[in-house]
Amino acid sequence: MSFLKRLFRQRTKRVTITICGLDNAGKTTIVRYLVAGEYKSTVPTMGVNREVIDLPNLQMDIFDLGGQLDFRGIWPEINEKSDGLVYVVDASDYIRLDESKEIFYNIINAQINPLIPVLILLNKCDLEERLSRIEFINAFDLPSLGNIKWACFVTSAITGEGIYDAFRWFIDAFQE
Amino acid sequence: MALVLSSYSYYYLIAGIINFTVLSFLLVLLIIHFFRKRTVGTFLLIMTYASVWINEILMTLAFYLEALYPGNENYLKAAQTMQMTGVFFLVYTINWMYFFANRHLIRDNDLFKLLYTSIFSAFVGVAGGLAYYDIYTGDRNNPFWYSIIELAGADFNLNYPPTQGLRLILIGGMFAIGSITYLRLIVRTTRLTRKAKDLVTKKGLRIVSLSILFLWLTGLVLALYIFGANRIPWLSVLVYLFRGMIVITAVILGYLGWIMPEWLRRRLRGKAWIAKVYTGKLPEPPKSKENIEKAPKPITSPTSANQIVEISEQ
Repeated sequence: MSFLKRLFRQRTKRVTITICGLDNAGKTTIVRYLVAGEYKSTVPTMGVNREVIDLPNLQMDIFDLGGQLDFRGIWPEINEKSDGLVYVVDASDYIRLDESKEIFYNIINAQINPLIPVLILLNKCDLEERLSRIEFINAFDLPSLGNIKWACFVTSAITGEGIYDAFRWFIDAFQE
Repeated sequence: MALVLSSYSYYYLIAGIINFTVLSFLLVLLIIHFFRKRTVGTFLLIMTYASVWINEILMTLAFYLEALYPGNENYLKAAQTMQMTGVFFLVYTINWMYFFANRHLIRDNDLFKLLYTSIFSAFVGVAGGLAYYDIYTGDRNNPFWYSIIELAGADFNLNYPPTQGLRLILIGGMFAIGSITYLRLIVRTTRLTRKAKDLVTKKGLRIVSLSILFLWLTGLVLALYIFGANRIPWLSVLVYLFRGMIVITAVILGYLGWIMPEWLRRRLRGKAWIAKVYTGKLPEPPKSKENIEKAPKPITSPTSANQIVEISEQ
């Protein structure tokens, strides 16, 4: 019996990941960087884009959710089933930081399972005028997340800076 | 009732069942995809391949009717009607494909589309109407508005639009419209393939152009019967089997190219960059100075932001 169980056991772990954030934060560009390893221009996401990435023993089913106001209504349904959340923030967008924070806490408090890992990406770090990681952690009040397993990384989907490190943390969180 | 058929008949009948089964499976896949996406494009693609599927099922059923009830005039007429209907359904795939392609490959104006479908439907309608009229009122030994292609060695025949005299205009017109449409689509797809920068799009378009080519070949192979392939039993069977394979290939390629299932997309795309870096096949990209080597451990107790920053700095 145990032999049969071992024979038919799923060796590859399948996880569903949702990528959220305000429009123009760089969500789709990050996903495309993960796939192509280089910057690829994108158009605003209408609805949801799906990408599947196969890693050894892990398959990441990534749902890149459109950030525009019209599409935020579909987020809760997808986030509910998510095994991991990636939240992307535009580091150069000071004006909409509060809006982004509000949306982030709305997702954390009402949409996701509190046990799943949360990866926060401070994107567009290639720009001069931007928030530093420390400023961002303070502004977003991330320590108040309590028991949630989270990490914050500075990334650039144009140069690729920080993207691998960020997702490496995410992959390790799933492998655990 | 003992079923005594000539050995060659079995090839046609078995091939018909295989074609029908494979096409049904692909059609179900398309319908599932349609209910997931609910797009007009998928609907048009379903109509295109459903026409091919209807032709296949009608043709096979007609063969069975003729083989099972030899000499029965009513069944014979029903079989002939089925075959002719199947042929016109097959011809009408051109129209469905044209409208489908108009959403993705070409951009014809509404007037042209209207004229196209009107003229094409007129050809099909007139040819079909006259053929049905002749089946039920004419002399079967000397058909005028349809032609019987005798399949040597088989217990049934093929029924086709008229292939002689001025009546050839009917099938010729449909063939010309179909050829121009398919050629246009192939040329357009080839151009788009050259322009495409994305590898998956490039390969996808190549599959699409192949599927259109095969769809066109379906009609061309059937035309071999007009030129006498039906007179030699083994050649006749071979052409029929070949036609079946072409139809199945066209539909499979169409499904793969247009729908592009996730598994195929991943296969064409190759391994993702992150997977290559993760497995050590590619070097790691530059790290950001602001990111720590390892992210802070999960915070289980209330900590101030400054403490986090300190952990990060370490």
